[in-house]
Amino acid sequence: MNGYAGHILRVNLTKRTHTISPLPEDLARDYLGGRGFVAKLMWDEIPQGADPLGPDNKIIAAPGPLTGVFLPGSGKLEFGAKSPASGGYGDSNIGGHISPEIKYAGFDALIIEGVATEPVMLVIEDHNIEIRPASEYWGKGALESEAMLKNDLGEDFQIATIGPAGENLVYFACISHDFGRQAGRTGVGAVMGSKKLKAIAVKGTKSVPLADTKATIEVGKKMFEACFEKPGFEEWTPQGTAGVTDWVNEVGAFPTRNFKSGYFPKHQFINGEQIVTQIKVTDKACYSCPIPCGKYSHAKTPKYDVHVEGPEYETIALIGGNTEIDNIKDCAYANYICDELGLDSISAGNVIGFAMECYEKGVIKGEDIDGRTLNFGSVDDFVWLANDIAYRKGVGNVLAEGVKTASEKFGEDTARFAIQVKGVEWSGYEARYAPAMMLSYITCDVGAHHNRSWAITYDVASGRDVMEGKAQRTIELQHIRPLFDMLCLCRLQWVELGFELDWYPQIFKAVTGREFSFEELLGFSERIWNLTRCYSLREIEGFGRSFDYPPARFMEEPITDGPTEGKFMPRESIDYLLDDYYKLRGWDNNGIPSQAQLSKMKLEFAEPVIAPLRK
Amino acid sequence: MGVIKVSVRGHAVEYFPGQEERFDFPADKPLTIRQMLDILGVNPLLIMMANVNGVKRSKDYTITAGDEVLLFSPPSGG
Ligand code: SF4
Repeated sequence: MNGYAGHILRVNLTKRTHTISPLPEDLARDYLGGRGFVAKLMWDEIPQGADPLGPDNKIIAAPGPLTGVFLPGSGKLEFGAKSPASGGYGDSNIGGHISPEIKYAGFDALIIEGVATEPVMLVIEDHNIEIRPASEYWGKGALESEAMLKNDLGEDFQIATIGPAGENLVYFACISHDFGRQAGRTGVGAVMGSKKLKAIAVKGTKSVPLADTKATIEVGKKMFEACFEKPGFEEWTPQGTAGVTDWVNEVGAFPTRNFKSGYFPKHQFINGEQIVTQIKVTDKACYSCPIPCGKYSHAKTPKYDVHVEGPEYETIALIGGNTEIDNIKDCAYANYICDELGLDSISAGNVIGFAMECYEKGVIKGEDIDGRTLNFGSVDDFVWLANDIAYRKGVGNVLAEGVKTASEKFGEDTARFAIQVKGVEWSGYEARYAPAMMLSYITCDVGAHHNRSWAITYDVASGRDVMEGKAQRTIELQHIRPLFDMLCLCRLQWVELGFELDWYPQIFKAVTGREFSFEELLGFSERIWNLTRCYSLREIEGFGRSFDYPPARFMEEPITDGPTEGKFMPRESIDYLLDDYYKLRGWDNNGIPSQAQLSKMKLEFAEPVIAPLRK
Repeated sequence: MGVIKVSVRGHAVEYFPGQEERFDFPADKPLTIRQMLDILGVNPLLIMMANVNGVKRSKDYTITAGDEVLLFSPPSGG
């Protein structure tokens, strides 16, 4: 099949066996790759009711049909597993260089199942597969173990690792790669840890068949040229995503002090300019990327001396604003600590902000934390708690399961300010005065994550008090953005440079020989959106509308200061948005896809599971 | 009457007339970037920052015929 390596690698860690099987044609035909493969394989392969951290859960890692092809941003990989954070569908995307390497090794998906008895690593060198002991790396940081493995296996291996947080099954542990890229969300690192799988190392030397090699090179070259010609191309790189920090404050959407506010008065001390002038060493890119958003940085003070990729915007928002760490070096240091421990810096900043508020309110007391402090603004407090979370010590052990579980254990109305949806912590945009962004978060299939639909400029353009039209726009974006995760491409060339979407069907045709309009490609994405909803409906008891609400803080507490001061989004507004959204999606009032919708999406196989859930 | 050469980087281009990423703005007198955006019917909040003749400027900077203005959409991140 053109565009595909042609094989799936299945590794059973319990039996220490592997099999290589042909990629099923219907999987490629109907689910394209990447996120599509992850969703379908999770549905088919992970037994209903599997413990996310037990032997029945599986890690799926899938490149896409355009992975590794000569075109801008073709280096993304989708990881998926049943999420320990939500108990439902989980996936997370990672850049760097490992995705093309998997494809060049001859695989369109890795399925990792079972549990090893001792720490192991999976070494893939083309079709030579080994499960090797990894005890000497277990306990090491994610960055440190990647460096050790590069040293031991060779520079030309691409390596994904977990840190202590993954080993200790922290629900927001990430998978790390390329010294600073992470599959950060939904706890995929904990699933790796539960299998005692410390690392995946890959080296590939094979080629991938193309439908039309000449056209692929021609279209790919034109795509690069089109990127270079975009207005402001050169200005994008110096700050990368951190460049948006001031703007998010200008529109009052910057998570501050555990999302009490949307404005951090000291944001100029942690913005993109501070990265450039104080800490940046060089820019850092994923495979085949003309617009490197990574900022490789060096933060040095008398207290620490660290190199780290970042901080990018989300880390600045959650570590900087949300815990009020007000200088860029300290943000970079906290970022480094998260990366080395293998913690998702988004959830870590959110969880620690929550813990700081609990401490401020007396829910966490001095005696609970051995007389230490947990003050907003203190990088020292951030760092000790991040370590205690990763090693599951004391109150860190409670917080290691995320703010939803922690608030259930703490009680005392803490759920009100546990800023999460479906058990996954909210990322970098306060949305109390941004209805489309709010809807994007609450309906995101993996929990409160921004990457499926980033709609805040649409809110600004169409009116932040206006509710009409927000569901339509959210749905459009929820199809466009995840399509990139199916093809395993970076979407920043499109969204940041304004790169035209028409390019993608052209290159898809040149690579695979299959001809679709962009709208038709979006149809695949819509199918997956419905399938991931079905997955969570199947796995989470009572799943439905009640899982699509934001925390009470957003519905009842006005933003405390800044440009959006006084704003909140009452429950009736949320209800309006959800009603509109479900209707447009062909879901019932409880957020369950109708039979007609499943049939339209060619997901009839889900009907026997979903039918009993409809009232 | 001269023109200001305007270009727009990123997704905010969809809110500009004709969704053009490069266009000439007729300018018979100096005006601020914010005023130009108002005339174009674009909420100035949709623009994160501006460069005028290669130098970063605020939205309250005054521009005039012959200037080259580059307007940046806010980056959305992954
Ligand atoms: S823009 Fe950033 S995330 Fe996207 S491919 Fe380039 S370096 Fe990677």
